[in-house]
Amino acid sequence: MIKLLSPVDKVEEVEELVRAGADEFYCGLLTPEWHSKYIAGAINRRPGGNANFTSFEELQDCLDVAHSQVTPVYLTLNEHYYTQQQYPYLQDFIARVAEMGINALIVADVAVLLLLRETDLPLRVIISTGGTTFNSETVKFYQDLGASRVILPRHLTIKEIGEIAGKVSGIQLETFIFNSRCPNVDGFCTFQHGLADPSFELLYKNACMLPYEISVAVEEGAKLGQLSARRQHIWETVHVDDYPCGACALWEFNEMRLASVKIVGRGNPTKRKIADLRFLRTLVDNIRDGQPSREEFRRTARKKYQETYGRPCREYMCYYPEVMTG
Amino acid sequence: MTEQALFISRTANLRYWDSSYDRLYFGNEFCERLIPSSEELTAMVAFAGEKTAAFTFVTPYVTEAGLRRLEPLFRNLSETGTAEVVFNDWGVLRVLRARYQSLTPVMGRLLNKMKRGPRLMAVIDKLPESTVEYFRNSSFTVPRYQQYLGSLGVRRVELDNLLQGIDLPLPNLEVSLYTPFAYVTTTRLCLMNGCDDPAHEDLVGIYPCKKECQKYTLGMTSEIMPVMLIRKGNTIFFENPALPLDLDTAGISRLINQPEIPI
Repeated sequence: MIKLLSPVDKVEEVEELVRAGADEFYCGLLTPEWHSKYIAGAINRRPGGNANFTSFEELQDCLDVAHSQVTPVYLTLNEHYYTQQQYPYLQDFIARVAEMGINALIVADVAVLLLLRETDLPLRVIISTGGTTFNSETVKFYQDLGASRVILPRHLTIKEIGEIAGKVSGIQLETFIFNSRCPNVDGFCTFQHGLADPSFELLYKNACMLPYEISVAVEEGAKLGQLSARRQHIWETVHVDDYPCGACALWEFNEMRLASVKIVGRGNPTKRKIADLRFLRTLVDNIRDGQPSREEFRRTARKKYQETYGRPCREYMCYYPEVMTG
Repeated sequence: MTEQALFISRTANLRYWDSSYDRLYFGNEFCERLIPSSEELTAMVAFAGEKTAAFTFVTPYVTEAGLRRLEPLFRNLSETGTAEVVFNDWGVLRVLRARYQSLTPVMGRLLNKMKRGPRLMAVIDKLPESTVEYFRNSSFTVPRYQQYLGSLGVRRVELDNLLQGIDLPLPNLEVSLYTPFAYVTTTRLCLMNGCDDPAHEDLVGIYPCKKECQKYTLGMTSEIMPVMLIRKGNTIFFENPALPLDLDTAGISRLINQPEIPI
């Protein structure tokens, strides 16, 4: 059965999240040592403290509780690139978290994969969505380098995911299911995250969420400009915070035998993480126990979404909008 | 001496060719729907041959459908002789290595993950030196990565001309620099798709398109950025015409000139 991968960033929420339906966890660790040296040059795409554990001790506590619940924990080391100067810290970091019992590292930079290949640490390697895996040959590229799972990009259709799944074997695939439907391809997006603290909004917010003055540089004028500005505004205002969802596709993803689906949300309040998990757990259990047809399942998913989040499905908030447009 | 390349994504833009160029770049980095036809590619190879110029075929990141479109082009290209292929997808490199070894792989700028966001310039003077060093460097400084690329036959890597500057040269690698347009981010949820159709205002996804990218270019201005962002099709760029003063010292052996945004 397909698994639910949940974010975790506080020790005290681990048991609650397992009870709510988490099968696996992913998390980050941002130490003061790294953060003071590389402000906004994050170790894991999340420079903010509330999205991360902030000490090895906290992470160890999380691991102890999660493992007592037979739930694996994967650690993000998925910045898109690291420089040679950062490797002494990274090597120590990796050795230490391996010793602590992290079940896998989530990695985007091929150079880090090469480092892990040289070690004999008991760590599985998961390719982050930052690895930009849009086809089966890229899956095989990472498989050749020792990856055991690949997280696919947000920007694939259900059909395209199915094509990839049908052409690879011996490696797990994971895809996105809930929250933060980023407008840009994560692994090809070179905007910085978190250049300042939240009091400096224009530097803190993701660049895709900023208000821009839009001008039409080529061809016909005002009508297109206004329309484009409105479309840009849709993304500026709601793409991260308004409950993007791909739950209708769970039926297909389970048929494709994908290993897991990812709930985005490192840094979200525990209450929100629990709500997301309960929503999706109900649906996965519905597939397992009820064996609904695809159409029956989609009706259930839409009804449950409306009940849980108090809003209807909308195409621009749908990870896989082809389920709505046919 | 720095090699001069002209990069075009439309055959009509051969009008920019002049005798100062040594090499023709043709293709697209950002959208598999813009992969050229076999006829277009053949014509561009022939043009380069007539001008005794070298030829480089530029390819985007691709789905399975995109791979199916690229393979016949690689086959044709490999039959016409030697050429370079810029790959922006590790899977494309794997295909080249497996079946088209006469083609020389060049690592495209999308696989160089250096940060390009212009907002950095608003705070760069306030950041610790170690952070600024990070933003001016890349994973190409990692020796095991250099060696690995070499083992795959990749000797040349391609960079954008960043506002914060780049620490160069890169040992053991040939370096190309794109000028004047640098890409910042790209998507398959193309905001230009249907942008002239009010009925499609809320439709942002992977849908069939009318190649609106070939008609419209949008400027995006923010008070926090020192340059205007340019949205062309599914990709956002900025323009930085200021080149490093001494290309040879910087180890830049090729300039990739983009008279227009290559979409």
